[in-house]
Amino acid sequence: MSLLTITDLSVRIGGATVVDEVGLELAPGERLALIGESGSGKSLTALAVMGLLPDGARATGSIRLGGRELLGLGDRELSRLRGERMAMVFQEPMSALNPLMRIGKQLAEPLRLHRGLNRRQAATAAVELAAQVGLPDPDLIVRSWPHQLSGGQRQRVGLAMALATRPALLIADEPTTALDVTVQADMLRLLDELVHQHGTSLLFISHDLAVVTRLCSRAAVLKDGRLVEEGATGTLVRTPQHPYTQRLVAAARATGTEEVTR
Amino acid sequence: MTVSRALLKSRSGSAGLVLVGLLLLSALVSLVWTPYDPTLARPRDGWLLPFSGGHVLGTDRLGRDELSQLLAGARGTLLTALLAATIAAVVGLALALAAVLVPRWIGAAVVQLTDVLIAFPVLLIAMILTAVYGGSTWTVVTAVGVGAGVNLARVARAEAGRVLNTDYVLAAHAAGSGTWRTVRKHLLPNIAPTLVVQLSLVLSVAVLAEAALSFLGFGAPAPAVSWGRMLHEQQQYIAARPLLVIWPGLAVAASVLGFNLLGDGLREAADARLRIREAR
Repeated sequence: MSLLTITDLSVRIGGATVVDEVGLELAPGERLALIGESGSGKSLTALAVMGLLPDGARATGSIRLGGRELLGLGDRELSRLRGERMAMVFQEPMSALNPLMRIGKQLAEPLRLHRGLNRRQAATAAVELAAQVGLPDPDLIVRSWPHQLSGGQRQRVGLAMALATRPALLIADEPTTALDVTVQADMLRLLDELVHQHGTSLLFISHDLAVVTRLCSRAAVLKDGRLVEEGATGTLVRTPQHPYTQRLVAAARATGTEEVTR
Repeated sequence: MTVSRALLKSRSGSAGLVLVGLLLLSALVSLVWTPYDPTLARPRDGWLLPFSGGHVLGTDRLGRDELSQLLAGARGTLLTALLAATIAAVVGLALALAAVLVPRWIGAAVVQLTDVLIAFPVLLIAMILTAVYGGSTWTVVTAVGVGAGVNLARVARAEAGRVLNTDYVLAAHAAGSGTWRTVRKHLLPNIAPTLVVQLSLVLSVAVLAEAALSFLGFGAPAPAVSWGRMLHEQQQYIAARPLLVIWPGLAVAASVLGFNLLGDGLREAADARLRIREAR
């Protein structure tokens, strides 16, 4: 049985339909990439799953997580699922951490929320989490402030936070886009490793075909809010069917990304 | 820690601290000691010049000691200012949070209400309240607190809206943080610097409003001592004894200036901290 089943998901903002009857399925432990240009509705699809759509956006259709319908759930029930069954890593590591909260406190926030850890247990857990994502000097770093960390380090904090409670589903919204190229590879390796270790299902949002081929077994292509193509990543890259996918692959080849042509 | 250091470094900040410190010191001293009972009238000792008959700053028409009145007035001024700022903070925060957290149409109504209330001058509200309930410290405090509170609400609402749209608030929600927890842990700490700056300005407005209301006869009635009423009582004799008017006037001006400078200093300090944070 699949972990996440999205059927006929539409998101409307005002009069505009920004996600149009999208259907996706994700098996436990599977990795699915959601590809598309900016504005194609991939981030909104992810936010709809998390129940975090902005004010004024309305989602219709069905999103089931482990057989449970998420659309129409109250904020309280959703809060219980967020950070526990499903978690998210954001694109901008610079702004995704509270500037006035020490790293350790932020790392342990999901554990305090969902596991009822007290302050001391949370502090210990934060150090472990920091070590797990390969942050240098975990004892020191939990006591530092976000502005003292580099972008890559902050993104590791974000990943550690998301995986703290071992959620069944991890949504990563372009987690490497804002990082230096040198750091990107490290970050992807870490994501790959941790998701594999915990058996987490991954919904990976990206516009980078090279990254997607390395990380995900299946990919879905979104264009203007519609699902235009879906399939195994290898097949999709080798024999793209939809004109938009063909253009994407061609563009990736043109910029000389080797993994795609392999 | 870093903020207090930055505050001491800025010229306006340290000047503001000195003036506000002086006000605080006078108020505290007046609690335990004044040279004479500030309300004790001894008509035989009226119109004494400074440094005569044991009165450092002289006495007024009724023989009340000027210095004692100034010290006691500091207490009333500070108490009014602090209470008004407290009410302003509560009203301002409540309205701001109501505007950003509740469903949109209720929030819009709160915003409209705030904007309407802003149109009423603080002094006018105070006079209406006094006409209905009679003059007292509480009337002044309520009027100034509510009046400044709605102004504060506008600033706080904009700031809260900004913070609520940041990624870290979204991330907190994604981690399962409920609304109130997010408000407590993420929203309030991040709007606090702005609020503190605004509140120091509220304090200066409150000092000025208290003096003005007392001067106009809408303040706390005797035996409470107030700089505004000292001004009111002495103004007709300004030609004969200008110093008796100048002292309370100076006290009001110094207190208002002190809170304003403190606010400026705090803003600079907070900005400097923000700059460092952005730069790294």
